[in-house]
Amino acid sequence: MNKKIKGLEKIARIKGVREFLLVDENRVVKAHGAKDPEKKAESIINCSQKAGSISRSGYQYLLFSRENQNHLLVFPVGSFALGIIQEKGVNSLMLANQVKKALKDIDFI
Amino acid sequence: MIAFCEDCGNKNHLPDQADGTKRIIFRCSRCGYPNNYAVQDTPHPDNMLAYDHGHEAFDPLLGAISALPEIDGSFVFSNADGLIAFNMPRLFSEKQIKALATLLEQTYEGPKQVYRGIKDMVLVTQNKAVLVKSLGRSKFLVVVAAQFPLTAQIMEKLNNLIASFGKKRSNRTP
Repeated sequence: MNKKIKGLEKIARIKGVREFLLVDENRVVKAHGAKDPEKKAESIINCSQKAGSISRSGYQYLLFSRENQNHLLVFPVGSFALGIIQEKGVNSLMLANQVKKALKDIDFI
Repeated sequence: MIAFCEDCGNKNHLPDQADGTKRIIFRCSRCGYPNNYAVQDTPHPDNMLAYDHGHEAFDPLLGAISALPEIDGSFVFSNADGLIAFNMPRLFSEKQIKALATLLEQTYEGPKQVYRGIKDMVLVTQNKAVLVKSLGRSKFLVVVAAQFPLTAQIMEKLNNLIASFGKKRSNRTP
């Protein structure tokens, strides 16, 4: 698992990722560029768990659009949740696809 | 024909309109409000389950949205009143729509406490997408789509419907 978590550095290198946060329950497993990660952890894991219970097959991702254009994306990663804040002006759908691919490459999903 | 007052929701019985009428203009028999709004010429398909709990104002909006290609259905809910109105495929029961609304509300509200300026949310699953759009302070419009992203044309139509609905409501607010 540690190797996989280390592999998340790949996510940080994706163009358009401003910050990311990998969360397990309320614990921050890995953070990159996120201010107050502990504060954000709970809301990320909670919304991921709720979203996961909406459809039997779970969910692929959540996209929260924000006024400042730093949109929030949340991905289910096994029992973890990955929250990403994107840079302004980045195509959210393309970014979501890149992150999904990276997670697959790391063998997280 | 029956037309709902945009202001008080009263049902008004009007003479049948000629075919092709796209707009109805009438004064509400109860509150006197001068109604003037476009009529959707696309009726609800028979396989849709529609309900508007005392807020008939949402019915035209939901009917028009649910009639768009790529859209499976739509509903409105609020933090305070729960499920307000819906126009969803019959395969969903009212109980299921309420449960979905509750989960969506919890999913949507969580990050708002920490991340400022959140407007809309999209939940993407394997074969559906659920769009949650805020309609003011406490009401939310939910659109269940068969795919995501929607085509630009449908997205534009959807945004126009929501914008014109918001405009009508703000015009009514003194």
